[in-house]
Amino acid sequence: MQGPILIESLFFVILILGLMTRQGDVLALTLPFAIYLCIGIFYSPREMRLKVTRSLEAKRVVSEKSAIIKINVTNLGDDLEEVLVEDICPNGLNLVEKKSRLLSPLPAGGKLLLEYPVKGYRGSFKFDNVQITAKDNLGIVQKSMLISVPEELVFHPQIPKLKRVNIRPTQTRGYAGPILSQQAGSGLDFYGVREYQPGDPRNRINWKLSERHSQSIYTNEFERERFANIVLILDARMSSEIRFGKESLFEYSVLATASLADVFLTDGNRVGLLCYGFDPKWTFLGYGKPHKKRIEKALLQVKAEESGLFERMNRLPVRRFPARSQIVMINPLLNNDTTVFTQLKKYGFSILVISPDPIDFEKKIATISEKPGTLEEIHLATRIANFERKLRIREISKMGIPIVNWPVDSSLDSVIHATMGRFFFPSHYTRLEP
Amino acid sequence: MMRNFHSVFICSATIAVSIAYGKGDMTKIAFCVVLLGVFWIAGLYKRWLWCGNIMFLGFAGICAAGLFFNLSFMLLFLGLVGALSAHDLSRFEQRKSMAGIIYNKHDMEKHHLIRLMFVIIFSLILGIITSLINIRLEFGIVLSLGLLTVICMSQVTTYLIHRNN
Repeated sequence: MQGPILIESLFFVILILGLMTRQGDVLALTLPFAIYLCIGIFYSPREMRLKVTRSLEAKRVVSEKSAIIKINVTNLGDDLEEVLVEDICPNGLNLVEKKSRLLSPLPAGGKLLLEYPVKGYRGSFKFDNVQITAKDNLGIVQKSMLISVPEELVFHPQIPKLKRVNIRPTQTRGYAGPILSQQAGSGLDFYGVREYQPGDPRNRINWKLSERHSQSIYTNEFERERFANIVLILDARMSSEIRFGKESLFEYSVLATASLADVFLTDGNRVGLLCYGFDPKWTFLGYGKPHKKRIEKALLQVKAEESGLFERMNRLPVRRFPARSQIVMINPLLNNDTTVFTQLKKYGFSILVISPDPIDFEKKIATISEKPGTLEEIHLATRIANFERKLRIREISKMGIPIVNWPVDSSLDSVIHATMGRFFFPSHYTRLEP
Repeated sequence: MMRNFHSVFICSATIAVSIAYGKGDMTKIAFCVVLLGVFWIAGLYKRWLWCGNIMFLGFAGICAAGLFFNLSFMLLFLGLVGALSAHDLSRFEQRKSMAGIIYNKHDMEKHHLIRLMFVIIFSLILGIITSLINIRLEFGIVLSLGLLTVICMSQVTTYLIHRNN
């Protein structure tokens, strides 16, 4: 029960009791309450004319670093005996010192500054209302107002840089770029030899081969380097998320997606992003720095959510993807979605799967967090789960889809390049079985 | 500083009410009042925020009940004023603990205490006056006071609903 309500209730109870028993002494006992309430009402705050501004020290802050929020309140009206300024923090932000409220008297023309640090991990946080409550000294009468002071604060994780990722899409675009196009033309990588045709430059003639064949001369061919259309698919279904306290497997997936988008866009490719979750969000393909920001913004807002209709991967909006483009799927392979890979291969897409290893992640957490179960049990469970995962990876690999199994403790860059070394030989040397 | 004042108010309420009951040969109740006072002070130092409301309710009830046993009006009145003051300070402490940052804390406390002293002095003066004058409560006065109470209650209820909205 709040203080003034208790006092008001007691005042009326004793008053009614006094009137019912017609005892003057009991009635007189209400006097302190009456005086207390009357003085409170007499000094109650009259008019609240306040000017509130909000400023942020930085609008974009790296995750886990603190951002300072400043709120200035200026009193343009009468004296206020007790003012409580409270900033309503958006969900997902953590108060560093648990202090987003300020209590102080505020005389006419006076100013107050509420300054507090917040921390966040990833996302765009929209600040809006500041609540101001004025009271008299005894706290009997209060007047509140919500003042809208909108501002946006972005927390973005530090994105690990990747070296060039050597992808092999079945079709590239018409402009010169860094990706080998599986077509003969001007380039640096050896592609093959063909018979000499008039106009071929002399420095391309393969003299050794021509020596062995007395009737004809052969010319070296190089592989054309072109841009590609790349679609990143981030699995944002809750069934693909593992979370223990602050540690989240999905956050690693988001980081990997951001790194890949960064490296592909820096190379000049056209990159699109699909966050496949409750409400699949599609960022259309585009180039350059503005598009990098668009993708970054989409990744800042993505959350792992219960997916309902999109619980299975077979509802991918395939028609939105450019024909024969490169698809890079970031998926921990927790669900048995192998049919989607078959489907994508049938449509003629080249696929690369980056899979943050959920077993390694869970094992690490289980070992640290003293979950029930001995180390032996954890070890046995890990072996069984690993066996199942290896089978799943083998099944997908048999379709000719390269999978990067990423233990999240290791650097994604080193894991990608170690795996790519095994997988990425030019596709015209082998025939990949669909 | 505030805690010292708080303790003084609790002690004064406890002493006044326990003396009133002690004088009326109700030593057991007087002893219970002392225990309540000690518990209230313990709650103050242990920062039990719920303690202030409950103890105040208890003291108000004991003071009102004392009048039906014909105990000293002035002592019970003094006890009630002390309990009200202590309760006010515990509410003030609650408001301060809810706010993370407090500017001009010293000034705010000083102004609060001045206002509270004003309430105490005014209450005591009126208490002394009411104990000296003798008014016969006629049926008409009781009826008009009753009507006034009903009007006040409806006003307060409207205000509280408005404030909650």
